[in-house]
Amino acid sequence: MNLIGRLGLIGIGLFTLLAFNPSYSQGEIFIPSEKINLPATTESWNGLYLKLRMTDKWWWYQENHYRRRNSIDNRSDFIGRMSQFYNRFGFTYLFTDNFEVTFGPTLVWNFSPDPGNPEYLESVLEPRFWHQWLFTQAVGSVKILHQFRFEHRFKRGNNVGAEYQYTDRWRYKITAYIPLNKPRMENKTFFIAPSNEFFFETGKEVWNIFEENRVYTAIGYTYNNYMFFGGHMWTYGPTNLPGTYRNRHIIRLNVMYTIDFRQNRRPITRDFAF
Amino acid sequence: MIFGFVTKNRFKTLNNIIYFLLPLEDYMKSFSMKKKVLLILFLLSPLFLFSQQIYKGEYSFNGLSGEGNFEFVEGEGNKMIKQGEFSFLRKERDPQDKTKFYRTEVNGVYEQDKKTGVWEYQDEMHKVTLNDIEDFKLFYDINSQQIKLKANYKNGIPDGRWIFEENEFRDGKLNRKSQADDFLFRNGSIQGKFQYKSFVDNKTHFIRGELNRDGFMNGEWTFVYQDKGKLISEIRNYENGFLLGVVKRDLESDETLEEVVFFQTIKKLNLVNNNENKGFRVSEDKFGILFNDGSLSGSEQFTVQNSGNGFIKEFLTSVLRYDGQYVTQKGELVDYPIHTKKFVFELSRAQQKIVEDLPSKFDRLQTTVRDYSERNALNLNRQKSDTLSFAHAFFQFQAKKLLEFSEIINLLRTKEIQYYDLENLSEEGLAFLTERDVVEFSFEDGQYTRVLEYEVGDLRKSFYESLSSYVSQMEQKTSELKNFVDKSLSRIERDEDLRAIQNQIQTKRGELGQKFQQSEDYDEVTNDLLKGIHVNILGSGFDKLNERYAKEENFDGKKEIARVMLDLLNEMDNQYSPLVRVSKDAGQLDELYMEEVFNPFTFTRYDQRAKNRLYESSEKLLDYYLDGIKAETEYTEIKNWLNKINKLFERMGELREADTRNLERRINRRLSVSKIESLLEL
Repeated sequence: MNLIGRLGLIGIGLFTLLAFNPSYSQGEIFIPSEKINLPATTESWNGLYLKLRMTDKWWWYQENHYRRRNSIDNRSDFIGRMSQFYNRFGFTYLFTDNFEVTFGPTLVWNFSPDPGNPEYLESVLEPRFWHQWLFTQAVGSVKILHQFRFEHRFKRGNNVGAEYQYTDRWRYKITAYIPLNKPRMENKTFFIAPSNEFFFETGKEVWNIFEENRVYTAIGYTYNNYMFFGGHMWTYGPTNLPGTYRNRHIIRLNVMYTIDFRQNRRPITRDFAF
Repeated sequence: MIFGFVTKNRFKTLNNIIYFLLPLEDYMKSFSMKKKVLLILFLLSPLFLFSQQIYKGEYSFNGLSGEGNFEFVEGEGNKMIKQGEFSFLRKERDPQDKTKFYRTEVNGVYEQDKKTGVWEYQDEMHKVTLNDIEDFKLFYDINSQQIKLKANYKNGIPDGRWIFEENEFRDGKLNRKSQADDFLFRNGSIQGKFQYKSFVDNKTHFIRGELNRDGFMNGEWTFVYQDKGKLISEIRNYENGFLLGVVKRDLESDETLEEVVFFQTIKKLNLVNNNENKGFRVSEDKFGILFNDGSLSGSEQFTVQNSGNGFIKEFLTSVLRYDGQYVTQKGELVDYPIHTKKFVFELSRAQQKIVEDLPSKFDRLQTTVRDYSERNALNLNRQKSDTLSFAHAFFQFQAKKLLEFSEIINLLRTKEIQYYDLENLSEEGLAFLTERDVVEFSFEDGQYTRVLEYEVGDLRKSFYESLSSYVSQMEQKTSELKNFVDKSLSRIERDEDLRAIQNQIQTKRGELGQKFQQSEDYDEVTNDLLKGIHVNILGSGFDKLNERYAKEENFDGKKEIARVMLDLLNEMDNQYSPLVRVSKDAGQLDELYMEEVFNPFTFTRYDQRAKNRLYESSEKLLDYYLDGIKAETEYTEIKNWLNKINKLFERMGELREADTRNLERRINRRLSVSKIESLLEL
């Protein structure tokens, strides 16, 4: 079995262990007799992704997101309230064209759910340490990405006086890049990229290790050092209230940029002369 | 094979045979003379058999090189006469395309150098595409064509049952491409029911029909085939080799596309059947698959048969490719095992004389017209007077017109005209026998026309006489103008130097005219450049000089202009290679300014433009230079434009490796050509 297959099995095993191990569940919790699904809310996430190549193997990784969510009294306006200012940094080590590892800090500012309400702080910082293991495979013209991301979070609510709690987050995302106007993913390629990501969370205060599922369908275009990428994401997962689930429709717009800082780029045709 | 057995086991050489015959000499003495001769003949007859030998080695079969293995006897002058079993194997790799392989296998029997009995042929063409090598394992695709043929011969002529199949090997599967089951040859002609199927894009194309005992097409013939994107059904009706009608339908829309009834043929057949035919009869000869009762190649009765006949030809060429009397080594079908019939028409003595004489009269006329239409002095001096200009245009016009006569004159030359119903020909009319010809010509800056009038006789009543008279009228007009031209140019042509330069100019111009023609071998950019120069320099630029030349009366002045004209042509000849190289060099520059990048978001590697701004600016410059060449009218400037292009390529080559960040920052899309030139230090 190849490396990806093995890691897949480990992932499934981990999920099973976490899902059914009673030591991870909380003691005195009221479980309603029926599952409650809250009405869908809306958000808008705009992000800039950078990957800067420093050496043959080392890259600087950076994400900056500006995220808004719907108003309190209008669940479908996408941008009514500030939600998060989200900054992720890291160093990436590229082992091969098909495997890389990234690690670094994340700094997230979570904004008040009810702006102006003195019971909430306007924004609170959530620092994280994260590392990610990313495998890719080609299936014909389609590129498949398997992303295992682990986040160690120090988070707190916006309530005045709330305390920081430590949790671990376990994420697996599968993404397919399907080229539309070219035989394979290359420059000036329009593509469609469906993905699905599972979030699990563990920690002292966590009562349900299943955190969220995100189904994202994006379309994109590669142009020289840029990639433009956007679409619709639907998320589903439990809330802090037992048995109560939320779902969100999120419009995402991302710009990715990469640049190579190595000075030794060479043309592919070397024995060229006029 | 008893002969083969004797040969192989006992008598290998002629010496052995003589040695074997010597003891018989005494016995012969006791016979009478006549008996002796008979006995000697009887005893010597096996000599031919005993001298049978085996050849194994390099052999050429039907133009294919391979290895032959066969039995033969030596004939007169050590000629090799194949006698006995024959096999041939060819394994060849295409010398141009190294991924193509050919294999031909032939097995059969010869008798006195003629094919006899059962012959089996297998012909294969394999195209191999190498895809990848992974872990030292080769991944490849094979796409093959295979033809299998089982044939029967008697005395070197197809005779007996034949079976044909054509297969294609693609995507790991062998599929039938076409087949003809069990058709019967008798004495070189196909007889009885005939069916050929070919499988194209999940559709079956076929030919179905019947041939009578003598190999003539008879009854209803059906063709289904693809033509110009349509699936066509063609039904033909034959009566003992005579085609009576053709209907073509679009099978998908059921629309009738063409319907041609051969009324004249039906009428004549009825007359023959009632013994009322006068002046014609049914010819006893056998003709090919094109039925013709008196139509020229452009007529409806002719063209309606083209696509269906093409389909039969395709089949016959595949089947008979190993028989030289039917298909040449170049793959041309020259004889048919399927036949049609024709009527033959009587000709009076006077008509026969015209048939004999007219082709040579026509040839003389054509030679004169060709000579004068290509005459250098006339071409170069035509602007001297309006009559000379008209004479030049007349010979050009006449040369084209005479080409249209070629088909009918060839019918006279080959005597095939006797199979043509002249009534049909007259009815269709001969478009080139015109009463008025309008010749256009230019003189100085004006365009003029002159009308030539001819008398066209009554073709229905006197076809041959009218045709002959028309050619005579053309001859007379040609002769008048020829005399005028000779008189006008005689002084110029007496000057040896001038004549030599004129000849050089004309030859060179002809060569360059061909060279600067647009060609499928070149891309659009190159063809546009060639077209620009063809029109502006070799066309109008040259014509202006030519006009000056024609009007110059002074011989020295004339020679000077002629030298400039020659210089123009030589210069364009010199610049031809650099011109056609521009596009290739631009392609190389494009490649040079590409680099392989790794996209860290999609995890793919691909080629991407390097130094985009710099490259775009060079594209802008190149476009400007190319437009300059296309519009240039001064021949000496072409070299300058090409020098600029070469400098640009050289500079871009240098800049590829250089640190150009400053330069790239200063370049933007709105910069003028001169500013870019200055930035690139050109």
